[in-house]
Amino acid sequence: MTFNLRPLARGLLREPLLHFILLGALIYLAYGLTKKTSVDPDQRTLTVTASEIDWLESSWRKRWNRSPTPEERKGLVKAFVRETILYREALAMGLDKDDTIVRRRLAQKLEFLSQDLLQPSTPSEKELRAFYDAQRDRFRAPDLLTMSHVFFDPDQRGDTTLKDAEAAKEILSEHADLSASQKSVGDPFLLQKYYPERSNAELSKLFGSGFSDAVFKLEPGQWHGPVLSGYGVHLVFVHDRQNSPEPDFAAVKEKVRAMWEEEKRRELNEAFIDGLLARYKVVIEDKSAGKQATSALGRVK
Amino acid sequence: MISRNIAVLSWILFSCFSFAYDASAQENVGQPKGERGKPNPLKNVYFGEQHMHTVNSPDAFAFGTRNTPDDAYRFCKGEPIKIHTTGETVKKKTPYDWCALTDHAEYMGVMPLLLKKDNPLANTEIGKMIASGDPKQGEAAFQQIITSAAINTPISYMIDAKVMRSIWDEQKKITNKHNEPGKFTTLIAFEWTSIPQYQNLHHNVFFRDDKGPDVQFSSFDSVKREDLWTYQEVQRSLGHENFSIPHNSNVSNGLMFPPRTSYGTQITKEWAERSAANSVAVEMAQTKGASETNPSLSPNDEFAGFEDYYHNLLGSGGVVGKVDGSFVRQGLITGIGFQEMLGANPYKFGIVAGADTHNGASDNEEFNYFGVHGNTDKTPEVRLSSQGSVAGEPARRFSSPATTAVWAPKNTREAIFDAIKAKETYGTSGTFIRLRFFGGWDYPGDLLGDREFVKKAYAGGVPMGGDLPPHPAKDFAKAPKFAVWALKDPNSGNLDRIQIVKGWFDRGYAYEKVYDVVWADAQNRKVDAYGKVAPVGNTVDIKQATYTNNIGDSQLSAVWTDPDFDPTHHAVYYVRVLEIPTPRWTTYDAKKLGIDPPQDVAPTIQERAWSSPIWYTPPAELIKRPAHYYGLQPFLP
Repeated sequence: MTFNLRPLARGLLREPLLHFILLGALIYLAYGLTKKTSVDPDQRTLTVTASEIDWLESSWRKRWNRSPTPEERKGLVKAFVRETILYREALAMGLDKDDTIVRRRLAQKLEFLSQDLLQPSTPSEKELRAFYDAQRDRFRAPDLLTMSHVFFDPDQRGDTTLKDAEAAKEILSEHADLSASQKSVGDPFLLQKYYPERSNAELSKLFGSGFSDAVFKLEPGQWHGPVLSGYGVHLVFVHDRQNSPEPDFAAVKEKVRAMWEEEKRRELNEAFIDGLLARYKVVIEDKSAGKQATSALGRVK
Repeated sequence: MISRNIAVLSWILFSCFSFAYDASAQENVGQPKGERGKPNPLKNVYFGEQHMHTVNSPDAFAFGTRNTPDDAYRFCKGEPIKIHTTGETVKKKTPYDWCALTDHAEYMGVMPLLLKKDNPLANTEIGKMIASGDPKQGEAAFQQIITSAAINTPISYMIDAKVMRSIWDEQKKITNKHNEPGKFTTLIAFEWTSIPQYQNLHHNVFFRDDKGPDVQFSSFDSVKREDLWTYQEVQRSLGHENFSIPHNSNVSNGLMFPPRTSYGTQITKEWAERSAANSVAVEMAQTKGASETNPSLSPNDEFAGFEDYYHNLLGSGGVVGKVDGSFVRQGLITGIGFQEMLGANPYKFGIVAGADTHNGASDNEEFNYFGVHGNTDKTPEVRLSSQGSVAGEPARRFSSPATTAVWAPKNTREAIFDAIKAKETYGTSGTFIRLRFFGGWDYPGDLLGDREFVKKAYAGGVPMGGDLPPHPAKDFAKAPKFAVWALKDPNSGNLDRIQIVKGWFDRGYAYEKVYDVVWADAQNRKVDAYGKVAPVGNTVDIKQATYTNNIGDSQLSAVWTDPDFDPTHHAVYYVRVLEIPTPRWTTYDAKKLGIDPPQDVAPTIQERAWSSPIWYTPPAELIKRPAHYYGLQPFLP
């Protein structure tokens, strides 16, 4: 059996796509030949220095735990030369331009360099004191709440949960003996029924943040609720709320210093970026209007 | 559930008639006022992280991580920190109670040290390359360091004893600085990064004392676990009480729970005892995948293969390891096989779970995920792309970090250490599920309605991580009872079900079975003909990355009796608690970008908790030893 290819070839030759591709290739070739895409003549001498050879050899030793044989050494140098030439040609052809990876890598390098080099100076006592005074609240120990609660399980009670809780609140409010009355209502619950002296953060760990914020606003000495948590419905009795005093400066000095340094380091970093930014006029094209709008960015975000 | 409701009802009725003040009730409910920080004999649960890397790990440094140990500890305490790769400020929604940093012992802290002026390595070849200021040379220097660690051939002057000692002392100092007894615990620790032929045998080593060992043990010293144990035994004799925790058995190519020693010989009783004494727990899950079990090992477990997207043996360039000997459930069962055969269990592990993040933080909260490997996965765009990331796997295949929960009387270094050593721990896939698990012979059916549940559960049996008390004499038909109670994370999904996984050996063969013990929405969910409980449903809106808690329960509890108990079989039991489906971190990221979540990972996950096991050992006169143990001994025709 034979197969006649001629009609197929004729069809192909008439294909506009093929004309288009050939024309494109021609233009590309012409462009490639006319444009100077090679490195400057003075860059065309490639000297592999003695220290570079040393470095190649030591990399080899680290990997294989022995020196390269003369044969292998030749190979290393050859590979190095190849890589360097390709690298230079690539640079000359502008292949580093608009390459996401190259861009990102260079930007990162500078960012890391600045982060590692910018170190804040040692703060004076006065500076620390002022820093502390400006934000005393951050150094104060948290307020502590002592509470009891009764849990009503919506998975057991369904739609009547809230009503049950309201009804139970009346029973609880009538009984003076807290521990006993707490026994008579509510559902079994894995957490404790009584939590002495817990901070908002600690209660939030146990019951979720909505619950802890809510109970910290409650008046001591009576039953409150229903209060909702991530588990279900609670009645809450607040026994006591201790507001912690402001700490002595000396006691928190180390913490103040750490926070001061952290903040300074951040400022230095931002100042560095801002400094770079100040040298630029940033123009951001407005996509919808098709116009150019000049914008002074305060900082890079 | 009916019996439970009756129990609850009778408890309410009973308590109505007993209004007299009951002082002992206080014991169940915690410490009286003014006793803040005093030990709770019935124990509190402390959530924490036992596996994190900072700038002091050379690989983390190479990923661009610059967050320090100080940053990491502050992050765990709930303070906001800045992630250096992105400049983003991150903060945990729920802070941890304790934390251990496990920077690699190999070249710990050397990379950041090289960047400092006047560093002690300035006159070395690598030091000069970096000091030259030539970026090419600096890059090459770091590459040399990473490569030499990867091929386990140290650059001798870079592990100079004096330099390593000063770095290690600094690491211990900062660890002690953040240890606040009663408030926040830190443990002195490091990672032994053994990985012979790309087979992951990594162990973290933890210390009980504040001084810690003078030297670490690295894979440059040895890649054999027997040598790690010798180091641990020597440190113990010097007063540095310690244990080790292996991780990523899923990429160990069977090396983690093998039937042989590192020398290829049959495991002996002495080897098994040394293993159990030194390696007390194992990681069930972490960012490089969960290691509970694989569908090919547990074909009847529809929840097997959870977060099992990460397969490549580390550094192998894409080789997938073998499953046999690589998963924790099988390891636990292999362990009891050896217990029966030799009278000692080499794989008697408690359960923990970890992060293994290399960014100086642990983003265990699925909704709060910001990547785990520095620059390689720092933005949602790169995290969701199909490009290979660390170890060639796309970043989207990594799991969000997991968490360890510890039952301890108080939050101090000693108490947390002792609790992990006693295996009274459980691991979670990252959420803060609260889980109690006890085993005994005589628990009453209404134990869970009892106000003194915890006290009676301790008195009548053992908690998770324990050995069942000896079988009650002359009543061998009696089966063990297990009391289990789980409460959801208030910031996460409701609970779907509690399961108990049992493993045992019979006539030389290993067996496993998963029991559904109690499940949510029980009125609508029946057991089908195959013994399976219907799925809980799924409320996740994938486009919006939201879910609603209108399915599932906020707490589940039961007293369960093993229906298939045979007193002559060694057995191991552990609990698995499942949440309802919630969005996976990839789904939250996809929402941020306004795109569809990636197809090769599930858009929703059922977060879960795994308890440490409770073991049953038959009385000596009942033990029957077969002629051959399949899989544990070389086959003899």
